[in-house]
Amino acid sequence: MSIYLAYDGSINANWIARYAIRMAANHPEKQLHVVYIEDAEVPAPELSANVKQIEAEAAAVGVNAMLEVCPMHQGVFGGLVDYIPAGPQTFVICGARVKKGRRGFLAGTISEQLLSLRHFNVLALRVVQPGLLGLPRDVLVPVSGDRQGIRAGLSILELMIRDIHRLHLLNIVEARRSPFRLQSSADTRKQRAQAMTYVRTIEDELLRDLAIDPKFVDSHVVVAKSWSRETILHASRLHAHLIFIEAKHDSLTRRLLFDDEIEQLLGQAPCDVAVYRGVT
Amino acid sequence: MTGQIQNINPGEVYTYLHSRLDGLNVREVTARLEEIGPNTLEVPKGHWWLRSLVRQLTNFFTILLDISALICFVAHSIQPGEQMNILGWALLGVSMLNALFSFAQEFRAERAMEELRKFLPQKVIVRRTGEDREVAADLLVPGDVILIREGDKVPADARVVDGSDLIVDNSPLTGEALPLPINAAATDKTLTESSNVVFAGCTVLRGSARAVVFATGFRTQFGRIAKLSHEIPRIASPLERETAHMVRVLTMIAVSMGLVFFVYGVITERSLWVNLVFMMGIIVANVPEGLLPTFTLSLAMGSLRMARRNVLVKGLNAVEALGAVHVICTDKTGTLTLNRLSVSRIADPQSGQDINIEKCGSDFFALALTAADIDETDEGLSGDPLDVAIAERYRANGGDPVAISAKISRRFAFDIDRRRAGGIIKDAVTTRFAVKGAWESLRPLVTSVRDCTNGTTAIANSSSLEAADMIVHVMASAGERVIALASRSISVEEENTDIEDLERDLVLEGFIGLEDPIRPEVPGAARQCHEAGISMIMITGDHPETAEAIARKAGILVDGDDAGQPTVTGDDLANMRVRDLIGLLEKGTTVFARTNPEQKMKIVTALHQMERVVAMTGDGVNDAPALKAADVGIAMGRGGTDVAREAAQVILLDDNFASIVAGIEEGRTIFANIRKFTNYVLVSNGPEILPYLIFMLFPVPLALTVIQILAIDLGTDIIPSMALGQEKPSAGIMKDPPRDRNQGLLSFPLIAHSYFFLGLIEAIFSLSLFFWVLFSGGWEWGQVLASTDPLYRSATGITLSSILLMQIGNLFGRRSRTQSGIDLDAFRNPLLVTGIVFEIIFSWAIIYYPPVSNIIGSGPVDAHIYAIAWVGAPLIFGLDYLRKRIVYVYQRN
Repeated sequence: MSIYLAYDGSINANWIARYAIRMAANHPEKQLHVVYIEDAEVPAPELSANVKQIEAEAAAVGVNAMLEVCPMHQGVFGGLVDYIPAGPQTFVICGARVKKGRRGFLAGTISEQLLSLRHFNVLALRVVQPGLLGLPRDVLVPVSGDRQGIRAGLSILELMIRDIHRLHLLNIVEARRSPFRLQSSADTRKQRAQAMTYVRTIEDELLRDLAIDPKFVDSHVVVAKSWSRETILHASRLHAHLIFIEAKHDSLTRRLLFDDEIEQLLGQAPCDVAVYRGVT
Repeated sequence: MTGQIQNINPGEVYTYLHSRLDGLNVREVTARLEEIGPNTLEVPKGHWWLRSLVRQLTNFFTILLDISALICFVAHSIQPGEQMNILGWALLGVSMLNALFSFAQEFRAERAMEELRKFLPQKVIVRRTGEDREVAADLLVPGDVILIREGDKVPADARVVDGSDLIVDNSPLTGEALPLPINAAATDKTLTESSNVVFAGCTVLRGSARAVVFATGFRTQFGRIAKLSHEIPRIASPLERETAHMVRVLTMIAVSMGLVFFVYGVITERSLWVNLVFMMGIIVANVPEGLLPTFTLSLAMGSLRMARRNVLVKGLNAVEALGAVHVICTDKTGTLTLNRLSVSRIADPQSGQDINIEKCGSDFFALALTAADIDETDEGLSGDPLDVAIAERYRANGGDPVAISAKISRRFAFDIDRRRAGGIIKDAVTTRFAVKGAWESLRPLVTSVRDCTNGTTAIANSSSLEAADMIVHVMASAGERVIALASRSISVEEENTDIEDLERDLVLEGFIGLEDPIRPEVPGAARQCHEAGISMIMITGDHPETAEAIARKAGILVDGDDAGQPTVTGDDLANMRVRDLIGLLEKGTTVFARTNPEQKMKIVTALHQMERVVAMTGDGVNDAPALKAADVGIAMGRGGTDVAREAAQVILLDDNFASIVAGIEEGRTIFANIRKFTNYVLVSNGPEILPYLIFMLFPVPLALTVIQILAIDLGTDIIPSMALGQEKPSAGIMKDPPRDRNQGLLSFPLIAHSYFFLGLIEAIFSLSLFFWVLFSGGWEWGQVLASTDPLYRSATGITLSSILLMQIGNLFGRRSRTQSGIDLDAFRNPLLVTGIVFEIIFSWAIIYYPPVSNIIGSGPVDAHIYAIAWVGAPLIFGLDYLRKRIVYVYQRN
């Protein structure tokens, strides 16, 4: 079981390194592999200074951080895939950030490719609250996605759970889209009840698998038109420090009609966002 | 790395934020700006206004009006002389007005954002590449080193690394305008409770500091409030849902019937054109075209009546939403109370008796004012309301608070963590340190207790401290805010030592009880709420015991209510899951003490999950999200901030809780009146539909043309409907429980009563007259009459005329569900009288006045037939009254 930080030398990478360090600190091996693919984008002295800081911060919490510089192999993505061993015991932490020439925070990025690959557990982070120092206390977990996918993400969450004070499970049910209709209270109530049953099932699994105190978890259900907007609002409402969300693929039609909602979330969230995909 | 930014030492802050004492360089700023975005509250929304406009123009209500207009234009093209196009244009006008009105509502959210932006500075002094320079605040990024000084607005959330005597006002976040000292030292508190962080939107009251930015724009604490205030979607009001449901049902009935008869016409081999015209006729007859504009008018007039009762309504739907409220969540200060804090008593620390003011009062007040900060202005004393209350009491006793203020050599502002304030007073003989604040915070520092009767002090032991605890408990239970006062003499050398060194060996001088009197109207209003089945929840920052006592005085808590209903504190609430909160609310918890305004959101969420319609009051910036999330957000007109007023749907012009209850009464009346006129309007659908059914099924002429139907729906029914919308509240309106959230406007009993009872009576009576005129004019069964045939015109004329006259009987009957509806008040409603006069005149004019009858397509009948048409009014009224009596007797048994 190893933790790899796909490090690109950017300021976002320095900030997400904190999350990687925390996760490594909660892992019995207390090792962090800082993988840098030589793409000559970051000057060597700057890279060296940044890595030194990561090593120092890691050492402060008893983690051994090791820089591993690897060659490119048909690009950075190929270099990473070549180097990082596949399997459910591997955790890769990477960034979700804007860069010129890309379509979005995840769309068209190496992180998106890593998430799609399903070779290892991947956590793509966008950090907008560097003041948290990688220590989110209140975490919002949207659970409207695929149940298997959510279960697969528990092993990633487990590496963070010790530092978390409150876990909010949020199940957003999309109201039936009808341009000429306001959904009736009875319909909303029915949808809400079904959604609550679902979220409670996930809550039970989480309590069982992660062995946490029930008081520590709160479940919320919302019937709304847009899950990304509602997730953003709930993050503000609940003072969440981190949104921990499963990577999901919207259909092309849906992307065209309603924009890519994960991208909206990454761009507009008031807190850090972690997009995960676990493998079992 | 042992925590978050507030938990680390100031020296480490630069390292952890990848910054340095000299600040960031241009390359770093550019990279971070690209990564995080600018420090603004702007949201890139593209052509949001266009989408909003399209949404408003395509909502069901607007489309229905547009279809009605289209029907008029088609009717005009069939019969151009009837000027149906004018009605068509009128309907299009109403449709546009409604769409634009809703569109304008969406712009309000933008105004709230404008008010929020005013809390942020335009420029800020920032250190970059070793140089302090003024830059636009929206170019700040995490890691920037900023300099803040007295009077500055804080541009972003930042960790203080170096500063001197910095005092900030965090009221935009906390809702309490208390000066808060800030220092650079690490703390183990959470971010929002830290004393080493400055937050965007707050103001520096005193001192200066250097701080490193760690959150910008929407990621700041203030930004989150802004985001919530701006983006929480407005909840569709109960009336909006019910109207949408009603319109949908009626339209489905209309279109289904239209299609059925179209198919029937095709099967029976009528011409396509005739079939189309009759399908349209059936649709027109079924859709109450005038009902929806009457809704708008009724709500608009209701909002005017509410304004006269100090309730200013910003959106028409809030007029009725107030009437549907199940729970009122109210602030205490200024809403339940007069917001006039005054000293109610000074208690001896041992006996709890009132201190002898003549003997000890002067010294006591001098010490209390030493730990205060007041100024004399042209408008009187200014400062914290508590300090002003003490100073005013001192002045009333003949003292000069300003003279005391002048002797204060050092002040220690109120520390929200320590929950106390202090000061040092110096005269020629002595130097004394005084501290006042919450008893829980002073208790551990007290070593002796003053006995003012003989001027001695006694060592504080467990029994004297317990006695003091009891005094505080008794005072708080009586609804007083209790402030403890302690002091000690200090040497000249000690004068400049730290507060921690000064705060020891204190002598407890006594307790100050302060009271903010309950508004005299509040207990009565609370009683009304209890009778009306409306729950009240008080949310306050006060001590739990004080809060409970005030809730009891206000009538929110009544005797016997407190069993099993513990007051919930802000700390409890913060650690509570929503489901646990729901459990407490279901058990009847009504008092939330020591809470902050942000926790209101959690209460609203829980109440919504309980399916309650919630009204929430608020006045501060951070109340705005809760005001937006509630079904009815109520802002204070006098004491509220502009942000709260913009976020709310209702503004209380006098900040008075009793006005909310008056608004609820008005809202309930409006809903009851809407039911009345919906019932009234639907009755005339019966005699409008039946002629079409008979025409399709039998070889008879059509008894009512499209223009005649529209003359009822968009003409004669409008004023009587508006009159019913103006009816006064019935005596029992505030005795019934709030209506069920699922209780629709259009219920089956209402449809049955409208269509199958009253509608059928009107239809049978008016059709009887129609055939009477036809047969007496020589018409024979199966004979086809031209629309210009005088006999046909006379027959349709009397049909229409009799419907109008019967609507007068229907009108009186609709005024009351159980009574006859004829009383003196009926004639005090000017619109009702106007409506009746209009129906009478029009019923005559369509028969006997050619300018009108030519347009309507009607003709004259013999006077005795018109006289018989008048029988319709008492007939429908009488039969309906008989039904009411039967129902009454049946229900009583």
